[in-house]
Formats: sequence, C-alpha cells, structure tokens
Amino acid sequence: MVSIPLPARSIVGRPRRGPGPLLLVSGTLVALLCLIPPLYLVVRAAGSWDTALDTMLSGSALETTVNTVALAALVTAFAIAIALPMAWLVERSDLRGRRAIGILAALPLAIPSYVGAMAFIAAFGPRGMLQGWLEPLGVERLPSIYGFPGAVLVLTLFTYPYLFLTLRPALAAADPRVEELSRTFGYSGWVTFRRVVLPSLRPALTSGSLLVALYVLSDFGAPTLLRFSSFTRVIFARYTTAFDRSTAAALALLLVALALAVVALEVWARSKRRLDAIRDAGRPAAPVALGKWQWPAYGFIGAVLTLALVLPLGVLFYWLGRGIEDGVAFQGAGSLIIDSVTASGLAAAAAVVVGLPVALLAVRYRGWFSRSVEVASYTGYALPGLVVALALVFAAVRFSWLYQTLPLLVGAYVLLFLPQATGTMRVSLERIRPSMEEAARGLGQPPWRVMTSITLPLAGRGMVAGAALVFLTTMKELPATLILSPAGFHTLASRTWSASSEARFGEAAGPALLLVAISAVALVAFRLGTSRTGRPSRALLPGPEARATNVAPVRPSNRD
Amino acid sequence: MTDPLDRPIAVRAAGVSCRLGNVEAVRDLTLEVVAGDLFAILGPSGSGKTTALRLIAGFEQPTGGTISLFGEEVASGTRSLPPEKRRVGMVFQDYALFPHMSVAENIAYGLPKSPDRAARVAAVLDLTRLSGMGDRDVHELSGGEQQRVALARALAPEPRIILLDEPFSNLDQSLRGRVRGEVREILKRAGATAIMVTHDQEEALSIADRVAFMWGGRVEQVGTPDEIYNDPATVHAAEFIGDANILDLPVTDGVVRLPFGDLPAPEGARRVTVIIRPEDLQVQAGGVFGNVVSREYYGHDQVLHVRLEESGVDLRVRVAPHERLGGAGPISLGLRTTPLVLPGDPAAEGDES
Repeated sequence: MVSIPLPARSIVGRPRRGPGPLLLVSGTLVALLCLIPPLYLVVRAAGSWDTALDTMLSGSALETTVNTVALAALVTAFAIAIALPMAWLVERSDLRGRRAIGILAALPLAIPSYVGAMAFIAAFGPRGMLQGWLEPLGVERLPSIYGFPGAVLVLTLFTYPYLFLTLRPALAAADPRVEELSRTFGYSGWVTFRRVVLPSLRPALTSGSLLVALYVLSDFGAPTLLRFSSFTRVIFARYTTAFDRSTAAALALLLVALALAVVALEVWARSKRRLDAIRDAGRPAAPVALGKWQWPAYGFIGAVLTLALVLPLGVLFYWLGRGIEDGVAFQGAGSLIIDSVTASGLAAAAAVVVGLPVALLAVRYRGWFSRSVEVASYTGYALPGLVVALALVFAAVRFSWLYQTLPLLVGAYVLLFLPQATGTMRVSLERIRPSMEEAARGLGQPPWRVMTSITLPLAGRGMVAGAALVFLTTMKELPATLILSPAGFHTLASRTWSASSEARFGEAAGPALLLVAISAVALVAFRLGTSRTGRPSRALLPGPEARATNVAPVRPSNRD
Repeated sequence: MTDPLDRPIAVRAAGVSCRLGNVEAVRDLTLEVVAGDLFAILGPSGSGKTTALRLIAGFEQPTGGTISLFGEEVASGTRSLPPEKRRVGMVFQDYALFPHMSVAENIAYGLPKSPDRAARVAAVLDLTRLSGMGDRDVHELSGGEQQRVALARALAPEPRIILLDEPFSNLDQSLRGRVRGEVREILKRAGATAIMVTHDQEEALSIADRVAFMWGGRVEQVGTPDEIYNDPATVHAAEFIGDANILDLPVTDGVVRLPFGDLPAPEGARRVTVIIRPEDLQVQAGGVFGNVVSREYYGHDQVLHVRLEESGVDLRVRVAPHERLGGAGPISLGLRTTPLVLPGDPAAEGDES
C-alpha cells in the first residue's frame, strides 16, 4: 500500500555546456596540425602515383616487408621467452634479491636501441673489442654482428623490458585462490600454470607483445646501424640517396599500414573482455620455493643482464676511457648539450602549450569533438618517427623558409610526443573538480582569476611532469633529429649516431652515456614509479595519482 | 507571506524555469526566503532542487522568470549576473576545498587583500571552531572538519546568503546528526541566511526553519517543518516525507467512506486520496477489526502490517515497542486524528508532472 515512487535516477550526470570558443578554435587547430603530416605523405605518394604503386608492389618492397615482419615477430617471440620467466621469478618465486632484479631487469629500457647497437658493434664487430682480444689466439673471423641475427639480438635485449613491465603486475594481481582451487582438483603446479595462470596473463602478454612489435617496426637506429634492411633503413636510404623522394614516401606509407595494423591489433586486444575483473585485492600469492632451481634461475637472469646491461655499459665506459685518452671524448660537448637542451626544452614547452586544450577538452567536455581532437593528437605518436620526419620534409618543401629550421624540428618533436604531455596533464586536470572552480567564482573571483589561482596551480604538477617527460624523450629522439636539424645543429643523439656510424666510438661513448643517464632518470621517474601500482600500460602517467584514465595506446617512450 | 519580525526578503524567485539540455529541470519556481532563515529545499534526486540552488548562485541561467537577492534583480530571462558578482557563498556537496592551499588560505581566498584579512580568517576559524587548524593541509582533516572549512570559506566574505548543496551527504551516518546541529548553530551565530538542498527529509525537518518540497521541477509546498509533515499539500509530499498509508477512494454523495467512518470530501472531487500516517493509527478496543500480517521491529517503535477484516485494506500501524508483542493475530484499530483528504488520485497527479 505504501509506496514511494521516486523518479528514476538519471544515468547521465548534470548536463554540461559545450566547450567555449577558445577551446573549440585551439582544439581544431591542434587537430589539423597533427593531421598534416600523414595527409601530406599520402598527397606526396599520390602525386606520382605510378611510381608509388610501382615501388609498393616491387620485389624489393616485398622483401623489405618480409624482413620487417620477420624481425618484429622474432624479436617479440624472444622477448616473451626472456620476459615471462623473468617476471614470474620476480613476482612469484622466493628468489633472493627479487626486488633488485625487478629494477635491474627493467633498466635496459634506458639504453636507446642505437646506443645498444653501437655497443654491440663496438664489442663484436669486425676490428671490435672481442676480435682484438681473440686475434692473438688465432681467431681471424667472428660470426658477423651485422644483419638479421644481430638485429634480432640487439632489439630483443632492449625491448623485452616492455613485456617484463607489463607482465609483472598481471602476475602479481592474479588471484592465488584460483590457483589453489586448481591444485585441489588435483592438477600439478605446471598444469595449473599452463591452464590457469597463462590464460589470465593473456591480456598483458598481448599488449606487451604489441608494444615490442610496434617498437621494432618503427625503430630506426638499431636496424640501420646493424645494416639490416627493415623498412626504416630502406626508407632512410631512399630518402638520402635516391633522386625521387616519392619512393621513400610510398615505402613510408607501407610502413604506416604495418604499424596501423599493429595498433589496431592492440586496440582490439584492449577492447576484449577483461580477465582481471573478478580478482580479490587481498592476499598475495605465496611465493613458490625454488630450491635447487634457483641456480639455473640466477644463471638465466645473470646472462640476460650481462648482455643487456653490463656489456653495453662496459663497452661505453671502455670507449669513454679510450676517447679521453685520445682527447676526443668531450669534443664540442658544451655545444652538443646546449643544442640538445634547446631543442628538447622548446619541444617540452610547446607540447604543454599545444597539449593543454587537448587535455582540457578530453577531461571537461566528453563528446565527439573532444574525442576527434584527441585521436588526431595521437597520429604522430602512433607513426614511426622517421615517417613523421619525412612527412614534415615533404610538407616543408612547399615552405622552404621552414625547411631545416629549429621551429620545424620542434614541431616534429611536438607531433611525436604530444600525447605524453596530454596524458600527464589529463591526470592532474581530472583531479580538479568543476565544483572547485565554481567555489572560486562563488567567492568573488572572475573566470581568469579562477584559471590562474585554482586551475593552473592544480594542473601545474601535471604540466611540469608532462614537460619533463617530453624533454627527456626528445633528448634521445634520432630520426627526426637527423632529418630536420638545421645545418650545424648537433644534439647528443645525432652526435652519438654520426660518430658511431663511422666507428668513432671514442667520440660516441660520452654523449651515449649521457643519453643513457637521461633515459634512466626518465625511466625511474615515470615507469618504475608506477609499475607496482599495476598499470604499466599507463606508465607514461606520473606518480601515484596515475589512475585509470582513458588514454589511447601507449607507445614505447624509448623510441628513437 | 508576511514575516512577524518584518525581516527583509533575502531571495525571491518568481516564475523561474531552467532547461538543461533536453530536460526542463526547473519549472515555474516561485520562492521567498526571509533573511536570517535556514531554508531547506527538499526533494528526491532529479526533482530540480540542485538546479534551483545553482540558479540562485548564478551557475545556471534561467530560461524564464526572475531571481532577486535583497531586492536586487540578479537574473532574468535576458540577463544574468555572473556568480562572482552576486556575493553568494556556496558549500558544495564534495566541499570543493582547494587542495593546494592550507585551511587558512582556503578561507582567505574570497577575501580582498587588506590588513583586516588575517583577523577575519581568525574570526571565521573561531566561529567554525577550527581555531589552531589554519596551517593544516586540507588533506589532513576529517570529513566533518573539511565541511566546516568549506562553510568557513563561504562565510568569510560575509555573503548575502549561503547556499549548501547536500552538505551532509558525504559524512558518515553516525556523524551527521551532530554535524547538522553544529552547522545550524554556526549559521545562526553568523546571522546568515542559508538555503540548503537535501534529499534527506529528516535533515530538512530537523534543522530548517522553513522547507520547500520540490517534485518534478516544481515547488509543491512551502512551509515550516511541522506544516510540511502534518499537512502535506500533495500526495508526493505525503509519500516522500515520512511514512504514509495512501488510500485511493471514490466519493459517494459528497463523502468518503473509510473503514473508520465517513469523511467529508472536497467539493467537486470524484476520487480522493486519503493519507493516514502510521502513527495516526492506534490499537484500541472496539475499533475496526483486522489481522496482523507481519511486523517490523525497530526498537524505539514498531510497525505492524495489518489487513482489515471487512474491507481488506492493508495498513501500516506504528505502535510503541512493548505493544502486542505476540505478533500475528487479530487486532482492533482506531484513528488518533482525522486523516488528510486530498482531491484526485495519485496516479492522475503523477501523469501530469
């Protein structure tokens, strides 16, 4: 008899007004700017469509495709073979020193792949260190480090941490009760791992693998230094030597298609049913006692860390010493650092300014417009750096006053790393509730004062973090730097590259070590800090406030 | 409405409507709030009460009607004074404290830079019994303290009115009663005019001087808490505020036939809704016979579900905790007071809104 009919609680929140004219205009501008490079690439290839088509369908293009896919597939497979046992040992076994190993095993990420490749060439190449040591023993030739095996080895060693970092939290989060249940059904530990643990790792395994594959596809430094003809090397060669640059554009489009296929796979994999939705946050799994198996485990970890950390760092320090002896180690270091800091600093500042409207739109005004702007802002991020750089060159031919100028270089960096800035800013903007701004207005402050006294100070940490992330990533960037730098403008990355491609390792070691140190800082600040909170794929977001945010696929931050 | 103390009207809304997106959130809102009163707007979620508050604050613009604060028109269909020019203090449901500022900085935010600023902050801290906490970080405060900071921040610039949006909903149930009393006391000591929005009838009835009941974007009744409870103007008000037996009955020959006797019907009504509060029924010898079907025991009282024998009508009856402990069985009921009779039936009224 007694009923209290309440109106159905509205599912959507309080209806909000749309973005103001300033945000609309700036958002549209950012989106258009971001879309120019890929569009120009298409225009350029289509401009001489016959040549482009010939190039794409040629035997050499097919060969390059096969090479690239094989490289990506094999590197991914080997990276899983390293990362899965490593992550399991760190998260689920009673191995001593797990915590330290967990940090060390992620550190190879701090070594840009071209630096790693250079170290391997210096160590194992012809007239390299090993050869020099073995010559007195009568060894005249070593198996060549160049080509496919070398590229697979180097890329595996410096990309497996992506998988390692993705798998760790997935392993840590797995509900131990499920495994215990499986054991009560009479299944052995191994069967349980295969039938229960492994399937629950599938999402992490998929997204980690795709990160690695994407990295390999777009990596320019390692394949080129190691003389393996994957797409990036071939495109760069066409660009620098061929008369008709549209063949480079055509090949770049093929590479983009390949990268997009991988991104699409990642998006598809992310959209799949969550497998970790029903876990209990409570008790972690009891570590598995390794017993005498700990010795092979230490052997495995030791081997990986030796190859991925000790060897490259040892080689770099060795050549640094040689370079100091020869007096070339710090040649022009001052101007290198100035150029690097100038370009990276400008890129960081520009990325924050350009990223602010994107982040504001995404946080405050969900809808098709914001979504489109956000997606557009990811274009450069999703494309290989080499491709973005080439596209900008093609575009800049029209505006010769732009070609090889600092603004164009900075623009390229912004295109490449914009989402790093928007991602971090989004997190801090999401912490600002609209009611805070309304409270400030209610207290008598006009909108601009609310902006300066509430919104910007609260978003400030995110802006600084975003700028820092862009700064650190830009320092290491290679292909755009090589292609777009003004004449006489040399950064740490481009000096490392030019010196090591001419086997002047004594000159390369100093800048390379500096880059490794910078990357290590970035890694510790932005990745390790979040790896334990269980969202490595969001790891580009800073600190403990990195909550679940709807950030589009995260690309390797270590790209070069 | 005339105020016996001849206090001025602090807020006057006349025929205000507001459309948010496709929703007519507020329709024909007409209200008067006397200066110095604690006024509550009570209603279920979606009734437009928060929109009404935001209209007064200036965060929403009316699509029609006018709003005046102390005689000054601040919003009409054509123009709307921005919130920062209205001198209105707002306490948000989530408090909206500025996380990058200390307690004192939060409170000082709305104060002009002047030598008296620190003194005013100290005075407000004292008023809200937060003395000594000025240097604290807002993260270090308990929920009740955060709420007092929000209140202090709103009071500091001496606004013309204070608006509170569901101010107690973020507090633990156990704290609410105490904090409600504190807030009322602080507002009264500050001599503030306050409008509070809530969906909690107990909250509205216990601390407000006057209550407006909103339903479907309209104000259905304005009155003192006891008027609202004892004399609900609409079926919605009767149903939402407190517990009620609601009987939809026909009118024959100008009277409504209840099992307890006949009642005169309002003129012209063909059907009526009769509202009987469970506590308006009592167990009495020689009354109407029924059977106790089930019982909800609350400790301080209990509610019996009774089915009347002859008419088959189901009623909820609130009785003292020690009465009729035997549970199910025959019972005889009578009325303590004359029930309220409203024209029309609830279903028809629901269609209209």
